[in-house]
Amino acid sequence: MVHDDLLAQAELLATIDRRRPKQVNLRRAISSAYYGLFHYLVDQSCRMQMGAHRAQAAYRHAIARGFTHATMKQACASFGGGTLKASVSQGLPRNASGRYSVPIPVREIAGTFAELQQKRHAADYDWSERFGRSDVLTLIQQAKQDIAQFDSFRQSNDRKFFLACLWAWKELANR
Amino acid sequence: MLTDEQRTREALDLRKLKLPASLPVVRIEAEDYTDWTGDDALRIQVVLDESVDVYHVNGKDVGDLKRAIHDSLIARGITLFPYIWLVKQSELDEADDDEE
Repeated sequence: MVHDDLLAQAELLATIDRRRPKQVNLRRAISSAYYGLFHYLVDQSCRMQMGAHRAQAAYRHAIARGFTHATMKQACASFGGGTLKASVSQGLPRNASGRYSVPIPVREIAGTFAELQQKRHAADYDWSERFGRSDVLTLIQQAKQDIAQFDSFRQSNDRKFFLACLWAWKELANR
Repeated sequence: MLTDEQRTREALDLRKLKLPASLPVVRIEAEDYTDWTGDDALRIQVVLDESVDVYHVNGKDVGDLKRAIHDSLIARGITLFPYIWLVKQSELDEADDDEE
């Protein structure tokens, strides 16, 4: 899977310098980790909409081109906060305190995605930001854990709702 | 009535946060931040103890640490998204050396 390769590449880049890591390697590691998570989520969303059969791959790839980074970030920053604003969560199941509660596997992967996207942007465009190996390696491990946790959460309606929100967020959030 | 800055400081008080034992934290700092889409946010810097082996961290513990910080902010009414950086003091010192 491409996301596994990208996360492995990120780990390699973050550890390639034995002593003090070069900023360019840490910056490329952040970028690889971000795109690992980006392609994973887009692929999961496309599989949910189109189906996971090999014969449906061309359709999945066509749909995948419609995802935008900014919309995905807005959705993920919201899901990452654990609750959604009323206009989005209207009609969804409520918890004891009367709110829609984002399940932990969704909340965690969403929060990590928003964080990685911001850091990817800083890594590529902001030279006033300095990256440390600690941050890069912990973020890669966090992304791997989030994917494993999200994978084991397959049958959940909350998972499907989140994956749909990755492309439908702008319209949902502005109602 | 507490200001946002006071509530943020309270939310990040190490004596009150329940953080994973495998990631000992020396201090936490916060500053106002704007993300690349122009949304207001927080930039949180978590300084880890030098003893943390970052080559063998548990991803779940990293997530637990960040969620504890996020939940503590939300509990005090701070709804800005916190972008959290984990760093060691030795890495901050290296950055100072680079600039000299």
